[in-house]
Amino acid sequence: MPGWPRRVVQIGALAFLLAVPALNYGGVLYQQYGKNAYHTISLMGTGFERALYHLFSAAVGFLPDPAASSIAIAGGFGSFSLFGITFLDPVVALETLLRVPGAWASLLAGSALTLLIAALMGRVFCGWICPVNTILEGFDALRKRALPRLGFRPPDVAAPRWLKWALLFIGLAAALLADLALWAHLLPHVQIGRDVFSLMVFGGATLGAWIFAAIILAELLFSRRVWCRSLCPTGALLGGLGSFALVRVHKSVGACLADCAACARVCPMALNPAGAFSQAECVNCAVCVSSCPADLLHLLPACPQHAGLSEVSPVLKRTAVFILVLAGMLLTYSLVSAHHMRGQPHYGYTENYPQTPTKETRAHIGRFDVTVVSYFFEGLRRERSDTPDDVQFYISLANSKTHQSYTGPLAIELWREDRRIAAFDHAQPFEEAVYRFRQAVPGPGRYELRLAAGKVRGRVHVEVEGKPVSKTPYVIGGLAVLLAALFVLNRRRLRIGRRGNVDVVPGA
Amino acid sequence: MVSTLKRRAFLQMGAAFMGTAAFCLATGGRAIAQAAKRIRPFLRPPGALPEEEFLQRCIRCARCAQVCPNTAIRLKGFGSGLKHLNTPYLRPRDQACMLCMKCTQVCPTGALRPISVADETVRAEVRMGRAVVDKSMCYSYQKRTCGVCIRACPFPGVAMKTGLYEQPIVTDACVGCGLCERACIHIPQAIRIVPVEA
Repeated sequence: MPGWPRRVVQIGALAFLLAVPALNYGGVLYQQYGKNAYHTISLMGTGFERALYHLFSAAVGFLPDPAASSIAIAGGFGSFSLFGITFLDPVVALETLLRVPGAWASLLAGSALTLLIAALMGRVFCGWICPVNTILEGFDALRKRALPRLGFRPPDVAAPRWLKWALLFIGLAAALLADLALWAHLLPHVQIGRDVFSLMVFGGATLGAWIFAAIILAELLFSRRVWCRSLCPTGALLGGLGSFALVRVHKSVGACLADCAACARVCPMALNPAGAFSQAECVNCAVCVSSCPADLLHLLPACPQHAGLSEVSPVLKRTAVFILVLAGMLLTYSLVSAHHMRGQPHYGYTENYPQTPTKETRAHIGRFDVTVVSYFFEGLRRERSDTPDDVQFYISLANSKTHQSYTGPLAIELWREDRRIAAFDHAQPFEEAVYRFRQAVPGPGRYELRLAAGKVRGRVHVEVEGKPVSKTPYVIGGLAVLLAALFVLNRRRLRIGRRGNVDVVPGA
Repeated sequence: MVSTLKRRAFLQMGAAFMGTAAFCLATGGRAIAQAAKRIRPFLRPPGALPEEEFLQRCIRCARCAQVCPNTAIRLKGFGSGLKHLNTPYLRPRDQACMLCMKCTQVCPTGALRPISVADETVRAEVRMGRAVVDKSMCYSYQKRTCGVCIRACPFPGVAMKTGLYEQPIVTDACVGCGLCERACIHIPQAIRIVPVEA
């Protein structure tokens, strides 16, 4: 079995992660701005929003009811819905079930398909779809070539495989005893979908990036796929269910080449596909199948000979690449050309009205809801402005118990790190219930307001921004991932080309 | 005081209290019932179960936020503790709920009960919170006719009535969508949503 179908699925899964939130948000903008609002969105939206709007219009706009279609596919790998069918991560579902037994019906309905796939096809999610594995496969090259060349040979410490079951049961115990959703917060493949969405819409990631960094570090410092082999509770559960999976790696009758351990060497899970191995640990990635120099291994349930597939595959592959490239060209074209469609001029609302105050910070101090409105640092263009470092703060305090605004005396101190920049004492609000002060600050960054309203004291962190946060890096990052994926596809082809003299490696 | 109460006086007081409560409930005085409702820490999306059960059922998958056409649903960060991490909430001053009920339909675990978009169902089943007017700030209560909130209200005349100078009077039918808070032209807003459990 050739390796490219798995690559296509992996790239599709990564693209899914990026495309679903992008299309969802595009759909949101489509509903907010309406049909064919290319001019309005170029005036009012950011560049990123404009791109998503065009993307959505190009991809979904031709359907009869685009707004309704925008929620047909939603979510990430923790939970997603596909035209009404729900998929749930079984670990998250199990945790929730232990916390709220009453929710069993919706949880079972959500995870039934996931469990069925696992029972029939084993850990196929891990090997073919899971973004952790896909990203770590990217790090395999680093591990195999780049790092040894630099003098660092990553070790392969065998951590016990039962550890993932222990982690799963710790999570379940936490759910049962402490009412905590441990793995719903920590599973990296669950986190990444939410993070991509958070990055796109709110401009900030949550925990996921750190968990991924830790996993990659562990990959380089402990062993290959230490997360998947010994730690991932979802892997444990899927593997346990798939112990008797129908789809698995078979070895045909026939003797291995003398001293050949090619399959065992490439196996990311450190199994020996030519001998006896536990199906619960195998991720069905079929890397071993394409590595076998004697063509003895097969993934499909009963398929000792597969001449038909290998003959068809080049045609299918070329067609798939052709469709991918065509779709890419169409999308790129619509993105680039859309704003020229009606000959609209290049200007935007934010460029013409830079003084718009937009930064609003909320905090709670004692019984007060505090709102701080600040104008951008260099709110006006620096070269034209008399006092470019001047920042105005508008502060209001509302009593959350009585829902009255505070109008008494207020002492304000402005701090940056451990340095006090300014202090103000206001006997009463500047107007109505708003306290105002303006102050030249050293630069954009994180500031602290220390407020004292009568006996109530507290601190509010305020971000003074120089420029609106750019979302461009994320778009470029997404494109880079797609490019990398195409590169991987291509590399695979090259390897097929030089197969005959590379793959038969005599044992050491 | 309590120790000097005689048994009979105590029983009389109890009976009087029960009678009052029964009277209030029977005459549709929902004020008591409203006051007894617990205030949530944050404004949750429509259809949210009572806070405790909501936090248990919510698997933090963020699908409600993903499909919200008004980008009103946000995700809580670390600021409010691990308990609320990644749970959905709204800040109506930034973006209010326009009651499309899409979030309730995509929730995989029923932490948000599915509610249909029909006006009557929304009015009957959605109780995200309740608008509270700060009369010391409201322009209309300063006799400067404003009326922006009632124009923003999805159920004008039902959830919010107006008095002289278009002074807003919030009724028990308020669903707590926050469109009035979003629209209020006073800075800071003179009308706020107090999140309550449905």
